[in-house]
Amino acid sequence: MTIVDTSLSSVDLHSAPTAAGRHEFYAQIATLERELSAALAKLEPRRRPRPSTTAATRPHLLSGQELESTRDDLVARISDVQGLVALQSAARSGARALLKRMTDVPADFRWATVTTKDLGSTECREWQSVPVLGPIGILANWWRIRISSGCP
Amino acid sequence: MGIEIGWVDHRVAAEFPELTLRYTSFDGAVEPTPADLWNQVLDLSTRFRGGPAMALPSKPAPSAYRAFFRQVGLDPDVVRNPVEAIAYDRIMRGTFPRVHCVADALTVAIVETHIALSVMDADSIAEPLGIRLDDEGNLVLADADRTIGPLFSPLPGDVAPGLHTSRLLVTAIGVAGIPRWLVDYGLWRVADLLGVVVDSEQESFRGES
Repeated sequence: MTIVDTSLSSVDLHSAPTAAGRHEFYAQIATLERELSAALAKLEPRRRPRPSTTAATRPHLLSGQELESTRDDLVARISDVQGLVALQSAARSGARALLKRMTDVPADFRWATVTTKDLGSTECREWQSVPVLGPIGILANWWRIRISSGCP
Repeated sequence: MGIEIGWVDHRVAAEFPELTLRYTSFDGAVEPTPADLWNQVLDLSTRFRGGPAMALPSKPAPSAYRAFFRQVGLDPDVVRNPVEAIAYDRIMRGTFPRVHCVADALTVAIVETHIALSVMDADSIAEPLGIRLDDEGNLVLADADRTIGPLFSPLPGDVAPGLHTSRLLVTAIGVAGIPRWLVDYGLWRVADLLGVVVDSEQESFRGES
């Protein structure tokens, strides 16, 4: 994570900050936005947080207080997204571990399914523990891993 | 026909020294999209799917626009920059819509260059164009006589190209992080797709309110 010096928050932002102070805020906001975009790019679309609904719809010059609030909001969002990236990573690791155990002992994971989406891949394939010869496999406890044929 | 440099109000320029407006105008009409241009739209539609669209925010030009949007109080995931808006629309519709030659040329140029471009009816605009603050402190696109509309917002109907348009004006907005040549290339690309050749910039049009 890029370290952003937030020492400007000690400035009295209710009065108009200096031009140098405002440009420092602009630089911080640009850096944080790039960092947020990079973090979001690592997340699957379904895991992405919803955008804020309170943002303005017309571009305008921000007050010092708004600049500080924008920067702090970005810092918080990056933290949230990094948390989601960590959760996604853990879920993928779990899916990989489950697939390995399923492959080793299919009978212990009856009907369990792992998809490439669970593994973080863009391919479309799934592994499922299914009985050999249908009802016979169920009665005899013969199970195997069936791999789907891929994308339609 | 050359690329002209729009003026930027001194208060805006002091805040965003790298904010630029560049534009060019040339003869052109709103007509059905010719087959070769439509083939380019279809080709882009085939290649421009979810993967490339999702990767857009981390590309240099969209990333620069996103940073600028944050700096002026917009959430770039709510108010999208032009190329991300087109990408979102492409994903929702499943293809690019066939509109007319001007709109389709604009779509191709934006998708190819990632630059914030727009096209207006040149006869509805009193040049020179520029960027300034309105009475409420909003950043707006303005001509010599009036405010046209907020920066990066859809154009009002009275300046949009229509059936009676005979001359087109293409604008490109550059922000920090986007090289000037790329902004100019966006303008050049729109003109090229419409069969017009645009010269390099005319420095004599530089101005500031």
